[in-house]
Amino acid sequence: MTDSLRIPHIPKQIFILLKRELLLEIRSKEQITVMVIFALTSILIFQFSFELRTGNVQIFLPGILWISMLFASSLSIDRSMTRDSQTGVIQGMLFTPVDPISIFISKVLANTLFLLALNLILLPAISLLLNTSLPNYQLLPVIVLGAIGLSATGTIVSASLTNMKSRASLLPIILFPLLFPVVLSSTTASGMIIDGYSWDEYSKWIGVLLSYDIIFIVTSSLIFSYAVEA
Amino acid sequence: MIETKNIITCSGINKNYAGTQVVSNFNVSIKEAQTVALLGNNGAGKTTVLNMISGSLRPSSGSISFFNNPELTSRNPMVKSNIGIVSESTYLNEEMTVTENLLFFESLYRSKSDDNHIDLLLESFSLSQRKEQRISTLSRGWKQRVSLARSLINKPSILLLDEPEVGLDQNIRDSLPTMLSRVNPNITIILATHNLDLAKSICSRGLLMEDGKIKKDIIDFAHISNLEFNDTSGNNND
Repeated sequence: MTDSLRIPHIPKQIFILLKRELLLEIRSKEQITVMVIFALTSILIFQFSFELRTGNVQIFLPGILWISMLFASSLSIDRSMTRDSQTGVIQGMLFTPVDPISIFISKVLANTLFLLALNLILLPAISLLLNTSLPNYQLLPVIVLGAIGLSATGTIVSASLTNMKSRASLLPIILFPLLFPVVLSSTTASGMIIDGYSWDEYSKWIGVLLSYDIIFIVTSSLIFSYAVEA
Repeated sequence: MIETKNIITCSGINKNYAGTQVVSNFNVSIKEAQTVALLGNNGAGKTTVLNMISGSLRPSSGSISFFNNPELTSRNPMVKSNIGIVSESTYLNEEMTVTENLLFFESLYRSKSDDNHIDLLLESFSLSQRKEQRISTLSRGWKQRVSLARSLINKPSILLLDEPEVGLDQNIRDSLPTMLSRVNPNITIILATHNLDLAKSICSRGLLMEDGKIKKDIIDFAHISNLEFNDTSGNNND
């Protein structure tokens, strides 16, 4: 009988699993490609439709940014779970002594990194297309916390729907209402930053985002193994 | 004679799916290094039993324990460290190479890599020539070989095989018992299959299942000449 003393500890498990997620994405480029094309198309549509009606598209900036992020992330994160369930890799990983929490955290980290990478393209594109300059450094905590919220929620909802036939139609129905606090606080905080409000004024929305992220990551980590169970 | 200990104990297992009883009062004890074939027609409950032993399905009632310890269930990391699984799904990362997949799964079991063991697996399953190929470029048969190598990456003491012959060439099927004993001669095997020849070449004990129940427990299985079920390997066992 092999003992369990040599099983890697949780931080190492997360590192190994994160490395796998990044390697698969670098090779397939599925998630990033889908996100970039979808987000840029959304911005163009928003720009033309709002400008035609109002002539001033800049007031819609925070909404355009976060709606693009929301839709792009829901498509991309679901792809990550579907890929692993179709190939059976998720089940294969659950057969090993790896902690399901490590699988969940690695997926959230990978999806957050992909969303942050998307922003490297999205923010300059918004500045260029909407002819405005964004206070990127002040927006950074909102974008990071918002991306974590989108990733954590998207990953657990996608995992729970893995074995359902009607997953495509159920995903937005379940995911979008759950993401309402993330989108509301991210959009409001971003708007206040763009409008030049002080940290004291918008920090409460950062607090809401942070609380949401902590609550969702903790609860989702605990239920992840049940969610992906066949 | 030295008494070997029970490595798997299934006590009164039942499994229901939406009101249908798939496995009913399944009681069996499997000793260390014993090789057991689960035989039966489609729907007999073979795969469900294997899935419950592997921990991917929870029994509706009853219990499965390991290593003679009622507290060790399939969810225990130490038990998981000792189980290897081959089933219909290969559990492989399609965009990773053969070696990358083996290294990835090995890293989930142990902190330090054992290159000699990986080389042994690549050689045993004739994968050395294809070790740098991505899984997505391999045929079903080659994927199944990689899957067999993956199932042995942790040097398991228990191997669960659910129709491992699917997609394999006849020569690989024939050499499977030798390959398995080469990796671990004292391995405990539970094999679910329709193929009586394969079962007899690997297993010393046979459990014939029907409607989720054990119909016959055959201890000297290798010497049995016929069984009442449909062997899809082409042999007539009726």
